[in-house]
Amino acid sequence: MSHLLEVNNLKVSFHTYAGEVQAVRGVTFYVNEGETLAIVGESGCGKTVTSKAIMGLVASPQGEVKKDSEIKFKGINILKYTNKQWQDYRGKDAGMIFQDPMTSLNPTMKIGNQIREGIIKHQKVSKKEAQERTIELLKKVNIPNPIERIQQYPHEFSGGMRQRVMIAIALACNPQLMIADEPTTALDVTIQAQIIKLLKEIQRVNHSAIIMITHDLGVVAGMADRVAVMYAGKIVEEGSAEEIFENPQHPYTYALLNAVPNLELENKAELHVIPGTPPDLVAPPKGCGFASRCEYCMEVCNRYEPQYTQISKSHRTMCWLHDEIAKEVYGFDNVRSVIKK
Amino acid sequence: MLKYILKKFGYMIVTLWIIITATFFLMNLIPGDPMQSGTKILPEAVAKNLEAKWGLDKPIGERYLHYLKNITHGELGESYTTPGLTANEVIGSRLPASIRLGLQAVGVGLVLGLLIGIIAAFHRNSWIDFIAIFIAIFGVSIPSFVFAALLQKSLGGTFFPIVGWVTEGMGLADSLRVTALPTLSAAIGGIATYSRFMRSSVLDVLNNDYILTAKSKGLSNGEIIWRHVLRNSITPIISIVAPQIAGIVTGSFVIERIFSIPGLGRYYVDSVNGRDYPMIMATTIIFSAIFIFSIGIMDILYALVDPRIRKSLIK
Repeated sequence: MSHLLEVNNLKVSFHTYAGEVQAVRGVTFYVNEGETLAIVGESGCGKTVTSKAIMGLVASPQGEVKKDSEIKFKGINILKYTNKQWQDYRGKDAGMIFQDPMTSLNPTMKIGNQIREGIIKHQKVSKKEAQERTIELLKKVNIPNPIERIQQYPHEFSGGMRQRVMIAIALACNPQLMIADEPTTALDVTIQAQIIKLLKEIQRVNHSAIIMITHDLGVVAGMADRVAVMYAGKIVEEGSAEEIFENPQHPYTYALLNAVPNLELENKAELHVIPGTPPDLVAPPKGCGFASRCEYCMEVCNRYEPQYTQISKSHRTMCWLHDEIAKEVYGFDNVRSVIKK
Repeated sequence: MLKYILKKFGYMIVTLWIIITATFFLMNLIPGDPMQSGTKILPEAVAKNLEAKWGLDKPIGERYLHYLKNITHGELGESYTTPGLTANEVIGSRLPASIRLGLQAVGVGLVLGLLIGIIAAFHRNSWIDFIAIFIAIFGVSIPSFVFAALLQKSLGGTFFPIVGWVTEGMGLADSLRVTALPTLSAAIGGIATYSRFMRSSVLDVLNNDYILTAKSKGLSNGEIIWRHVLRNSITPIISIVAPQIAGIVTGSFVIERIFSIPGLGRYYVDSVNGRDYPMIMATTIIFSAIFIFSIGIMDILYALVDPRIRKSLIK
């Protein structure tokens, strides 16, 4: 089966005064129709840049998508698109929901117009039809009194309501691919759950694929079919949600799962943190990006970059611990048992 | 909204009254009086007569009240230096040229300034941007009268007359042609200022998240500028345009001189030198009124452009 979206060896760099920041260093993944892929990782690991690259929103001239990168949407490499083709693709084939609904809406434009302009741009409909469709969309994202609401400005909406509007904008032309870049990070917890529920509902009805960018593992567990864990501009582990949560294989994934606060623990129990900081991507490490923070770091990790090891058909990880030789030397099963604790 | 506008107008009238009062008393504090300002020293009897005629022999308080009463009837008084000519007549015949020059200059300044600013912002750090910066520095640092002389020398001739103004019965195209050089001279400062402000304002707006949202909808650059950038970046410009309008109407007496424009600017300067009290008062009132009015309009424009300001006002 061919995939809806295929990203091959995506590399994105930013040219700054400090040098070339290699934000994304060769990322490969795919998304099928109707499924949800979550990309998780800490701040600065390149997940947002990846999503912007898929939308063609990497700011030039500072940002550069490297030449041998490939992003295929329905088999066509969209990185070769002209400006006009990008405009047709954005909004119609792929819609994006941004992180901060407080700043992502134009403060001087009525909500209705902001939703409507995408519809008018892509679908040859009259203003009146577009208006009706806008009202329908607002109903779909559960905004009460849509007829009055379309005449209002963003400052008259709460944060959760604005994020619903953002979702309506992304949904406007029923794109097959929706990218949600930390859609719940700026919202409070009760609203988060509503938004996630809404996204799931929309996905069920529209059968669209969602790429969910997040660092909230709770969101991932509630939504994702598959998970890609990113670190320092690379995908270090990828698998189905079940595989990642039940059978994590990369030390970073362990650490990430460990860092989730456990509500059943006593108040006094310490929260787990991952010591150290991510590597400087102006001069990325020669070996594994996580080596300097890894509890199980070996000599080889600092010198050579690990390759992917296929754990199952859908599950792969990039770690030397899975190398045939490492298993012998280290006693890999020992490591696993240590980690499980 | 209407209530807000009415309130604004109320404030404008109060401000104007304060200015009238302050000018009236300040004017009388200037050393010298109309009788001494000329080169000829008037015989005492003549001076006495004139004082009586103009009411200058009365106490200042009475004169002030008398003046206020006249103003409410729209009478600005008769000129001292040009007997027989009332301030109303001078303003009636001279103000239109000044206003036309001022408005044309602000209009040209705004259109060109905003355009240059937007283009420069979109081509940040390229050669286009550098040209825009050059124009801005050039416009700010070269005085308008030098620029006027340069224009007269390089473009002046039969098509663009070196001096002169619109005469009666002239068509629109001709009148624009005749006023082109003075307008451009008076506009150059505005072009420079607006383009700098607009450039930084547009750059600010382009960094906002909602521009990314607009792009992700698939809008073209033109649509993004027109619908999302322009309105949001124009607010800082509004605040600098108001003083500029008044400044150009009042401050272009040099331009008026250079191009022999029958404007009001000359009277503004001459009346102070001649201690021509009614003319001083009249020109000051007119210019303050223009100033206050343009600031008031800008306040209302703010509210029209930005719904958040509108909301806070209505509350």
